[in-house]
Amino acid sequence: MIETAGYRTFFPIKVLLFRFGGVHFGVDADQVASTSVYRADDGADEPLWFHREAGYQTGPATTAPVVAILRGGDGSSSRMVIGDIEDIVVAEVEHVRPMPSLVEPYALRKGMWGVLLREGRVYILVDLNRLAGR
Amino acid sequence: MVSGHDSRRGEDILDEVRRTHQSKEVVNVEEEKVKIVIVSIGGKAYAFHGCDIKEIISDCDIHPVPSLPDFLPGLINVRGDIESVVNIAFFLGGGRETGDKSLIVMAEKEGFRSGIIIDAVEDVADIPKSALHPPLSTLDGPAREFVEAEIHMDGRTATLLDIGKLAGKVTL
Repeated sequence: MIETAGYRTFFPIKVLLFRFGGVHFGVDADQVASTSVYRADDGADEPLWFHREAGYQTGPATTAPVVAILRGGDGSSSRMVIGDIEDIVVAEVEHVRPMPSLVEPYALRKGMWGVLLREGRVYILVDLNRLAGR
Repeated sequence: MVSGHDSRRGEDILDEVRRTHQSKEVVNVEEEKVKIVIVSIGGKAYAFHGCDIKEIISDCDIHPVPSLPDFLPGLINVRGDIESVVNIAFFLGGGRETGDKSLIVMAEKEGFRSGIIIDAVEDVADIPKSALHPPLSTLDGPAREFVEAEIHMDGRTATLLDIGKLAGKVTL
């Protein structure tokens, strides 16, 4: 975050882009400490699944889902399976739009706070910590 | 005498011209018109007030948003502006699956702004207000809540929908 003459800006922000159920999403990369390929037999506690927290009716159509280690504001961490990672990009404020007013109240309750436009593609920006209930 | 007669005839003609124009003005007042956009949805004809429709967008990609209600299939990108989309067929009894590409009208009224999925634009017309009739008392289902009138014109009928009432129905 940069502060200039009393005006704070979070931009540019790094965004981790991922795909789940054919839909493109983005998350503020600051929320993600690391990622790894999900293995059900790794001995760790069962992670949260993005599709369940986001309200999908069905599970992921992916062969190698990635689990993200989420960095909480209080120093804690949790794990969430987020599907397939696409890229990590730098986004300027000009690339981000709020949700349309008709959808925004509902979307915000589900942690979806905006839209990133990149190379003609629409990415739904999500707050994974909020989805994880933190 | 001839010139006097001609002079009187000229005035008579002028009177008639004035009367005719005045009567036309009266007719115009009586025949106040409204602009409507007639569309087809699920094989039936519906209409919106032209002043509520800002744009018609063809071949539009809809980007789904998880867990939204069925009548909100997702978002569209209109020249860099992100807009919501309403699948109005959900309320009209024609519960239609949204394909990859959709025809959408952008509607805006009293703070409400959203795309609405339609099948086709049939006509844009100025119709006399006398062509608007109260909704059928037999009309049933959720659609009844946002039907404004039935339009009877040139042997055709269409159901005029009120965008304001639709907004109240779909606001989350």
